[in-house]
Amino acid sequence: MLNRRELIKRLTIADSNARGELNKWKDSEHPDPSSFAESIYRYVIYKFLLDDETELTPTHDLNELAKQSVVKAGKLNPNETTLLDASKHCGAASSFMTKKVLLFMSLSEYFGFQYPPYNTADIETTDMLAEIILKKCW
Amino acid sequence: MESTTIKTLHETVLKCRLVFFDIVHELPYEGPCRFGKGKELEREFDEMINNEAFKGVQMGINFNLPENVEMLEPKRYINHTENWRISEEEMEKLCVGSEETDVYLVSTTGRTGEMIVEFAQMVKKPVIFVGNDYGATINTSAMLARGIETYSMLSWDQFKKTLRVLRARKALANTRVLCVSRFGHDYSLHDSNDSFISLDKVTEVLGTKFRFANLHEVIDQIQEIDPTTNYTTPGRQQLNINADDMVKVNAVIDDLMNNADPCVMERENMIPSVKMYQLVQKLLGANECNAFTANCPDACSTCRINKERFTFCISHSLNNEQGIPSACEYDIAAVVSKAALQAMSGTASYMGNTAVLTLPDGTLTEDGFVQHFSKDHVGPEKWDALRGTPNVIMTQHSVGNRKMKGFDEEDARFSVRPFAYSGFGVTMRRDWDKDAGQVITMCRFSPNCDKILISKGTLTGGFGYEMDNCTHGALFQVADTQKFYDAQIQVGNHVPFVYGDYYDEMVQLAKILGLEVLAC
Repeated sequence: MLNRRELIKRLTIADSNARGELNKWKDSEHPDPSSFAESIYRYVIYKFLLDDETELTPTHDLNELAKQSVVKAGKLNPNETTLLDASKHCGAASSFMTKKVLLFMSLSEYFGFQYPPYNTADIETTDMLAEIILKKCW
Repeated sequence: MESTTIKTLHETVLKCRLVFFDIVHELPYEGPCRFGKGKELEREFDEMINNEAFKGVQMGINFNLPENVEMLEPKRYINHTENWRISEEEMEKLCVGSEETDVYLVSTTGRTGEMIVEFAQMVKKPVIFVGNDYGATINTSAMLARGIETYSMLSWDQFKKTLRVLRARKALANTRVLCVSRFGHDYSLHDSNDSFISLDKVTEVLGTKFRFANLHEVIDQIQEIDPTTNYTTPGRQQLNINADDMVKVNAVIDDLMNNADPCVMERENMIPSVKMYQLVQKLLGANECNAFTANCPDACSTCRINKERFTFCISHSLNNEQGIPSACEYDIAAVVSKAALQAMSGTASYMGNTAVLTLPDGTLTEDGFVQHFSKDHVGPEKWDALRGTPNVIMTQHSVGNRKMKGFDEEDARFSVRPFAYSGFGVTMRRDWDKDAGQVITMCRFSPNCDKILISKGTLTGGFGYEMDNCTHGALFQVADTQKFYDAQIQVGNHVPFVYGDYYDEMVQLAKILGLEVLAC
């Protein structure tokens, strides 16, 4: 288990790597869809702190990845929910839903697009997410 | 008079509707019930979370729906905020379609309890609270305390069971029993006087309805004559067997003769009983019924059965194979018990005289106090094997069927033999030995329709496969025959069973119906 200082360091590195995946496409005029999708997948893996997981279940399903991320957060430090994007809804939202929603929000902020909030639940995979971003931003 | 299609219990569909209640915060702030940072306090975050939760609940429900449960178009109260105003207009929109909804499934992202309770009070339908730990206990207890029929559970498995139970309750309310009677109509005086004392009470408790046909009028109609010339109803158009019916009768006989292993009856001796079966189908259709019983002993004593050379046995077997609960001896309690079991299992059931053979310590009761009418039917080898085998019970009538494992399953091995020693009366016998080890579930309603015996056992074999008459039966073990007997003397003789373990569901059904459970 990481202490708070170690956890912040771990999060900073992961965030930097995630952002690096997106920065690759900053000046691209026509991103290759397949490579872009792979970058979005890598971005999600970094954001969900799954990059050093040796037994990661191979999936592009966002719910599954978010659930694995919740498990990972528990391993890293179950007391640091604020740092690890665990559930912060006063009602009945689970941590994996919170992770997924925050992921969308950070991507829409980075790429500067608005996604109608009531459709985000229909985005089920990292590939779908990549396809939507490409349509919105290029 | 045209007959209509029989709507079997199996076709009963429980219609459910999801109603989801959102909560959205209008303003970004933290406090005792709201926490987070940055984006997490934005309204958009809540909207997305609500959408994720709504979709997640829908996916879970759709993945876990049992057979014959249908989800109607979901409804959603969007944008309820922490200003706590409840829109009457929006609430009324949620209620649209309540008349076609059997059960509401409600879920929420939180803090909407007052709306959920109010909604349940508006629609006056059973409610299942789906998902989330605290919300379930808060809202379920709140609704139960207000007299609202509410369910909540700890797993999808329990969710499925509850839906199966509620569907079974609906199927029981959709059951309409055609009762062929000679004398009074609530129960038989000379036969199953352990059946329901008051059918009005049964309708009140279960919703099951009853329709009646006069025995003599029915027997008249197996004659292939002008249907307006029956002795008991001169001038009235009846449903007599005709040439078209005889095509169907012969097709049924062909099936039985070609597939039985063996069929020891001559076609000529099979025709009257199968004609009666065909007539029963027409009567069921014309009376819009989906369950059946007829009064064998009262019919027997008219001597018309002997004269016409038929019995009702094959009608019961073939009815049961089609999902039409059908029981011997005007035992309406057995018919309704079969309906409950079949509604739960989606398979055919079996019924017969049910008697304890061995005590929990393995003693075979042979001291002369109990006369074992069926000792000769069981056969010496199997009878001897009972000694020392604890908790054995038999259920015996020659009304086996081929569909105990499911209506769409392959036919089980069966034989066809006569009921009467003079060669008439078609009976179907199932080879119970082949299914030894099969778990079974039993039930029987009490005469006052206020109690129900529910039991579970394991089939150990059968008897009478190669005999004539009412000699066919099944043997099975239960946990404790003394307990079974103590319960049985409160409910009666015929205790029907189905294949499979539906014990928990039957107990839940009984509780929902307000019945005292005699668990054994």
